[in-house]
Amino acid sequence: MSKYNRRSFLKLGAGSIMGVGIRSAITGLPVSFLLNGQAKANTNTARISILGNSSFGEPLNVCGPGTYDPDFSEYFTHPNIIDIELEDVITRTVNNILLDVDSLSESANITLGSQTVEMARCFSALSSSMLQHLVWFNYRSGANIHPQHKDVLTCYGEIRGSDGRGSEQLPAAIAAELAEILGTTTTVPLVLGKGSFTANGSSLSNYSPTRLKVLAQSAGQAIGGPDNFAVMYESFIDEAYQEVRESGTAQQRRFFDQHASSRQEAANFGSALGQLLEDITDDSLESQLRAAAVVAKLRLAPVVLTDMAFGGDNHNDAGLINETNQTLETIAALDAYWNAIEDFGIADEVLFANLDVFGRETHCDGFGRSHHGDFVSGLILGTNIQGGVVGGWSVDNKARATGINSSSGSSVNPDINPDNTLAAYYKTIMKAAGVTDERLETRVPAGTVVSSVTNS
Amino acid sequence: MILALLLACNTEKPPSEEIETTETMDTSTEEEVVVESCSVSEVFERNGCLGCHDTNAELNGGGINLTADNLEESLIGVPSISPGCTEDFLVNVENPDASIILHNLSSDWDNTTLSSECAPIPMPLGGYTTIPSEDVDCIAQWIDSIERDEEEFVDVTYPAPAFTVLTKVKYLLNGGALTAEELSIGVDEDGELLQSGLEELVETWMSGDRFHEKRRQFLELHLQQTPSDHNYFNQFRNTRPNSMRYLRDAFSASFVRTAERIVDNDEDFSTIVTTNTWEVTTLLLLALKMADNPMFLKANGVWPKNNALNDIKYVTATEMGLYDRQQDSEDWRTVTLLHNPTSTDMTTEEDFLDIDNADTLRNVPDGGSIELRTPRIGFFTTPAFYQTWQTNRDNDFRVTINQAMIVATGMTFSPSDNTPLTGDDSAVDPDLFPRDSTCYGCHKNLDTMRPAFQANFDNINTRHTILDEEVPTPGFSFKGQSVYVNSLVEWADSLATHPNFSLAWVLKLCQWSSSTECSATNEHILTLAENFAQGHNLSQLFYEFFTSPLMTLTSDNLNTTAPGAQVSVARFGHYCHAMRSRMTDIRGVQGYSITSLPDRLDICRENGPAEILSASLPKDQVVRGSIGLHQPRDYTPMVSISFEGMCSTTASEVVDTNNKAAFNPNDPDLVLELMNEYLLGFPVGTVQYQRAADMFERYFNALTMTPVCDNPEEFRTALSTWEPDCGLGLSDTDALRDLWILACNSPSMTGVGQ
Repeated sequence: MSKYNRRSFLKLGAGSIMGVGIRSAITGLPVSFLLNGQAKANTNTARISILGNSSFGEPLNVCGPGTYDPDFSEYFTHPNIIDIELEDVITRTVNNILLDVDSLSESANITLGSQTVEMARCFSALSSSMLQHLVWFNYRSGANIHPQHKDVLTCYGEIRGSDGRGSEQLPAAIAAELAEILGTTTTVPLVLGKGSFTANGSSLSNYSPTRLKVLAQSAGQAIGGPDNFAVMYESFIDEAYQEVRESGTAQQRRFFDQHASSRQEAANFGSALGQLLEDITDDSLESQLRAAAVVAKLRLAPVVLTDMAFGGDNHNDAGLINETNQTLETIAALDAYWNAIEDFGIADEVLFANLDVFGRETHCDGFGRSHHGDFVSGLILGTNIQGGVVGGWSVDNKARATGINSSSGSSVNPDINPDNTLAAYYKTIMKAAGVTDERLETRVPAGTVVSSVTNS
Repeated sequence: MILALLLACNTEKPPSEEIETTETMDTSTEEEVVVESCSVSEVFERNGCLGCHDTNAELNGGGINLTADNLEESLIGVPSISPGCTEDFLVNVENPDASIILHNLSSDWDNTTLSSECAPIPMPLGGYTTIPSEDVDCIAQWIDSIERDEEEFVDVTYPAPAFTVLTKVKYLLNGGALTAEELSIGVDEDGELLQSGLEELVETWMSGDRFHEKRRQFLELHLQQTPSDHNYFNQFRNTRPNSMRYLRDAFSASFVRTAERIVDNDEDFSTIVTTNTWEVTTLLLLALKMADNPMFLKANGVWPKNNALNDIKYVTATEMGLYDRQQDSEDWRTVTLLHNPTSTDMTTEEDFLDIDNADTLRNVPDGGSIELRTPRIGFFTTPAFYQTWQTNRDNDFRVTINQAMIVATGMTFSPSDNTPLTGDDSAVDPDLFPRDSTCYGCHKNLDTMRPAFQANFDNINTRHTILDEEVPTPGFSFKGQSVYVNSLVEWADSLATHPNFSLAWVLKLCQWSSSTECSATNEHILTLAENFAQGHNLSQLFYEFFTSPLMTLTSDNLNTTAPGAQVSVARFGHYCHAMRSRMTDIRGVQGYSITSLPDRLDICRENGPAEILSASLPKDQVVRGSIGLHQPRDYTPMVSISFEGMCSTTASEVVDTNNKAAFNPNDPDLVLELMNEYLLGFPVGTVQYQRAADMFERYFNALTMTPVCDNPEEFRTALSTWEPDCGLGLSDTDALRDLWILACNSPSMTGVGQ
């Protein structure tokens, strides 16, 4: 048995947060305001959610705050230059900083919001404005096998349908809640990456940036002009399918309604989308996030799902080369995304978060990493977000996410049970996306929002 | 004649005597029944449930508060968190037997009332104690006593219009448009569907290459032989280059062809689980021989390229002078793969670089055999299956086994499986899966199967392995089938004879055809499964399914579960097949070949102008761990763009004076007739055909008319009149190309069941 067994080592600047908590109690001001007042005021504005998703289980949890503490080095393995063939490393340059394997082997003190934490050095390449609004959220997904991904997406049924019954996947629930408020063209998530998702019980199709680009550019190509073709098509549907339009079954009538409305919606955004996707040349993560920003700019969908990779299903990743390359790629992609939403003028209209089925074992057995549902790390990023760390981890034979204090976000004095941190993560994302408190209680009655994240 | 056919298309609801109620429910409101003989609260208290499920349930891990004041709030209509049960409720007042809490407490309840993947966690945890049956009955009585909502879902089904049924069945089986002659065969004097006519037509539509292509789609999907990662890196080091595509295609096609042979020969379809007689090519035989050897590893654990034991790209390179990657991937033969673990054939690099051995593999005759050190049996030991579901050191064949279960039985592991255990329990790691854990519930069945694989294949490269130490004795214990086994062959035999094999394949066919997860308790499904179990003749199953009430009954309820009532977007496989079929027919009536189609008219083809657009159409997909398919079925804006983009991008190839085109603009009248009959699918002589003919003529006039209309509203008016004042001033060719876009993108082509 390890000497750390049952020792609850609460990382992540716990002392300072407790101090702030006491001050908060005295002054009556919100904890998040005392921590940092720079979160923007538009916390109740609905945002288009861009959700990076992985069903592989990413080792993001291994490079986060506290994981480089020498007292716990036996529990954490990081990529090491000794184990890697350097020619296999794909280096990245982010904000003029070269990122190579050392940037994952080594740690740095990085300021998230107002909290300075020690974590993988590669994150220090991200702009300070981005780090200001980046939350590192430690939680437990409770899953340990890939097929549980669909269960995790519903928080094991805790994300309810619109009437508070049944269950729904998180992306679909956010989409349904916010589509009308946002005025988006469609009401369901747009999937720009891999993975199988559903909304209202229907499976969603998968697209990619390059496909989206070709699709958009092919819209409205009728020789007589798109407006005239639309008129002809409407007349055609009404005339040729007269009987079924009038007296077909409910499902038949729905299909024809979908046919007509979808054509019109597609015509509305096709050409504009094509122009904005001009620069897309591949389906890389960076392209996915850029395409997601374009979709947000045009308000095509309330939720966009992309991939997210920090190493993937790396059981067989000797030397952790995949982990190195994918993490550096994602850092660069997130930086490009942050710049894109600034360029598009939509920084205050979008929210980014990542969803994962589970994290990975923090210790590498020499071949790679196994699944670990008790310690997952999520990122929430948006201009309405108060950066910082939510939750923590403690070592009980292996590192596991702790409970969370729903006011401070700290792992000190938790009122959110470790097993309920997934619901807390999801509910906090929904809150940050702009779902109202009333609807939150209908959608996720079992979860608790971590209010420090959104200054609410 | 027109009157009769119009009747056939009548969509009005039938008289009441034709109504079949698939789910009859008592809609009367009864007084609440008081459970006088027992107290539910006392049951929970007496059995220790409140230890975890009291007012502190959230904190102590139980999650659900079962104290008296919170009972209804905690249970009624609340989704379960048991694996795969999120669609099911802890207490389901509308279908009490489907209440998860009853399944948690006792395995005696009929689990067919639950979602197909639902695996209720047995309570109390650990399985060392059970709730007395009288206490479970008490809870059941309480659930029965809860008042139901007054408005309940009643799914009434009735015979669908003949035209709808015939159009849909032909679309799915043959892809072509329904002809006037076929309509007359399938409709009786009153305009109703004629069952004997439908049966005759289905028999016709199931003959020929078009049906075989659709059947192949079905088998490709459900045998799970199409990996998303085309680089077989773990097994053969490198198959990524384009020049290796022939081998990759052969990997995927091998077992699908094997299954097709089994079906065509009217053999028992369950032999897909056990057969070692495969359809192979020379390069497939080479691959299997290479995989008979462990991967050669360098000291640092890396398996090097340019090693003849490891790297099939290296061995088949042109400069090696041994193999032709295309020809040797296409010389299909039926070969029996004999398992001989002591064979010493082809064990060195020199052996694989020996041209005599290449000739030997190339000369294995149709009907011949070769020896392999690894057992290659059934769909689940193919290189393609191993690539689709790659295992690893930690997973150690669990994904292989679970996916094999899904393919063969349509079920996955669940903690509530009480099938008597076989095999050595030491195969279940006690540290990872303590005997009192929920995890053990699944792994007791799953992990005891793994030694059957571990004894033959390594868990990284899925190549032949010789273990340093013996593995535990494998077992086969799964959902009602409990067999002692000693080898992978015996394990496969147990899987092939699993009692759910028949039902599983009926459900697969039903979902593929109707775009909905069909109910395992549907009486028509059960009848088909019972029939299929008699010899597992897949052709007979197709025939019986497409002539059954599952195809011919519909419902006017938007949320109906009746397979025959489902209306879905036509996904890639269905749409592209139908378009190819109809293009061929359109060419055929113009005197061209009826057996081949010019490449330019396969608008979905790879490397065609619409390649990316067609690749963006929704597709049927298998999902790891899921029993049902991932099936997008809604018509969304993106789907609309995909179809319309495909149609507009290909318009110049389809409507052209080139003799390889489908429509020659020099004869607009013929083009309009062909579009009407073959793309809109309205049989000649019907009211719909005549109306569409008039419509097309008016539209063509308006498209070609001058002067040009000032705005779309003027054009709309022009479309509705025979003598328009304005139009778009298009040439005949351009006008027909726009009408092609319209017909190609029409609901007739892009929907199934509409």
